[in-house]
Amino acid sequence: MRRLKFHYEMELTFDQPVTEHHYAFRCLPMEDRQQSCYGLTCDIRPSGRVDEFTDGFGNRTCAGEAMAPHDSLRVESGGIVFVDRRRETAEAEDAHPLFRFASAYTVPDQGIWRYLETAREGWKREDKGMDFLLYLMDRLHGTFSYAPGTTDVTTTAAQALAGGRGVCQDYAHIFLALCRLGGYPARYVAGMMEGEGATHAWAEIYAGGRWTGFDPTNNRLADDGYIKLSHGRDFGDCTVDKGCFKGFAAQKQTIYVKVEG
Amino acid sequence: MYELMDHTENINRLLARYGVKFGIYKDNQFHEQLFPFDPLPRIIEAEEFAFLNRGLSQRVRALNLFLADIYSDKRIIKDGVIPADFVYSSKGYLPQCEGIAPPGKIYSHVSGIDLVQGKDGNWYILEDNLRIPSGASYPMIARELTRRAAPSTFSRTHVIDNRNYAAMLKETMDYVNTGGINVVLTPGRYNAAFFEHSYLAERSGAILSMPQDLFVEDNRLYYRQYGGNRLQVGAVYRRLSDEYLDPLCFLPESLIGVPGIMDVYRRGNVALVNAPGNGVADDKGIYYFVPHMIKYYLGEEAILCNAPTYLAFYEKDRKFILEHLNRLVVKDVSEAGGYGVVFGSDLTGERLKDLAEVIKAEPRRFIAQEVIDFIDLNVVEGAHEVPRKADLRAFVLAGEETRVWPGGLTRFSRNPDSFVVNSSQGGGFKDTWVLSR
Repeated sequence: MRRLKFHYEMELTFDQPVTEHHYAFRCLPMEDRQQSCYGLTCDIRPSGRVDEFTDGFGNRTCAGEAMAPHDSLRVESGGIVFVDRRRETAEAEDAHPLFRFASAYTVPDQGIWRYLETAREGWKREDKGMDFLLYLMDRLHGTFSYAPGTTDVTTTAAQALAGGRGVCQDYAHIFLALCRLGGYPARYVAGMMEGEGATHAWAEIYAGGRWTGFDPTNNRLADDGYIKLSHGRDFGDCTVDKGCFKGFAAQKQTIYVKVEG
Repeated sequence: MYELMDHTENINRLLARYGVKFGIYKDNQFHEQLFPFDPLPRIIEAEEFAFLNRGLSQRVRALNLFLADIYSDKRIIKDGVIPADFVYSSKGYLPQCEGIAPPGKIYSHVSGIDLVQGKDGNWYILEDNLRIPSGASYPMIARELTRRAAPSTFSRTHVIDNRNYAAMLKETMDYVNTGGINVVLTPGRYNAAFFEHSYLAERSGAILSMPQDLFVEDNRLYYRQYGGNRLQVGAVYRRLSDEYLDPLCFLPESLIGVPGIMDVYRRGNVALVNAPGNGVADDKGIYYFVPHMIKYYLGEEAILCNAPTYLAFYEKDRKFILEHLNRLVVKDVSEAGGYGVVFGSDLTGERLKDLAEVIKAEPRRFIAQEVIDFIDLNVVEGAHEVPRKADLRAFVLAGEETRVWPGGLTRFSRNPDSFVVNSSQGGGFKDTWVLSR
């Protein structure tokens, strides 16, 4: 078990004022048997009424609005999280059937089918448990390259795999598509990793009676240095910030995340 | 009823005058079309209607229980009555609605059930529409105009006076209203059914509102009046589809939604009529299981039957489908609106084989049905009556009780060789008379 302190900051700036800005942030860690949180804060500016609720996946969501003209929206959250990935996940026996099926970002195409076929041929063993999944992750990590700016938030697993490069979101989507095609329930995770930088994404696969976090971007299992913010079918369910506003403005987003032990 | 024939032109002219139209988008342009009215009604005898009433309300009660179950305990899946595949890979299943208990536990308040009467005299359910079924306004206004044109017709016959649809709709909204006014939420003037939205709002006493008239504050939904005052909203008869309802919850690019409305709904502070997520229950794959649902939830046998349907997912059914492909109609469960429908009888040897291969490759995707030879109704064409294929959309309203409106939308094909009765395909409509004895 580890005790982590996290700080999340996101700022949206507009080149001219916008109004009627409605937003929903998923920037507070989930609480389950593996994670417990203390002293959580979430500060949003311009300040206003913020509602906290959990969505259909159990993700903590802070929603609110800034109606008056403003040229930036800033959110900061932080707190202490105790992480223990050795503990059983709460829904151990309940691999939600929803996660067995392809979702918008993870619909398999010929490329995904072939990739899985080739991987299966390369795996010369009978068993298709954890070891196979680790092998599949290793293979993906080896053949797909990390290249920020080559994909965007709309890129699907099939498109990313065809392009051969992308970011953590793409690694996670491809891994999800492969696992679901292979019959494993799999879900997308948005979260943070120990260190400084941006938010991170990985996948959780249900195998051997429990959910295990696989991080294909770094070719390792999610351990106690990972903080989980939300999970869902794919990126679409776990957007850390989502919103809409009125105004004819160009926007720029900056994110800063720090997690330390 | 034949004296109504003399009024055909007159009534159609009045319908045009009142703006009884539906819109169609074609080549990126919005066109409005008239929906041709035929004066000869479909007549349903009292006894027959009593039977339909029992069957339809039973069906809708089961569908409502199914929706409540799917978004909570999922007993029907755990008990193996419906395979998980058919629920979770349905486009209509919305995980955002998990765990939400709508006011009164009603999901499908207004259901439009499409059925046909076969030449064998039996009624067959073709489709359940549990999202935002439209069409009730057409027979409503047609009845009003025919009564005006030929009042004596209605005093001499024993037709049930069904001018109570709006009152039934109001009762349905009032029953689930969480405190506040009722509104009809329309995406606006350029929606295919805008006429209906405005007509139903006016008749039911609800306020017709555009998305920008509604806003969320302190976990409540409000309607903004012209003067700047606000009124709390307790029930929304929303006529925009799920994915556009709330940009914070569904499609972020939706410009016509009300941001935050799902949060208010989740907290039980407003009723959405019909509930979001209903698409999981009216999908072509789930249709097959409705008789099983009736048995499972109500412990009763289904009173109204489905068109005989086979599910390629089950090996036994698949074998049957492949053996009888040339006489069945095959439907892709993920498609809607007449797309992805293939009649085996239209295909030649080679293409029939291709279809069989596709079914074998992805059995989960297909259902096959017997082609039902349904009855013709007479339609006036010039000075003659000609037989045309017709179906019936019955409206079932669920509030304190589940009731069938004594009437409905009878649609017919204007093309003598066609079974397609959709208004978007140029079909027309008739009034539906339910006799009191």
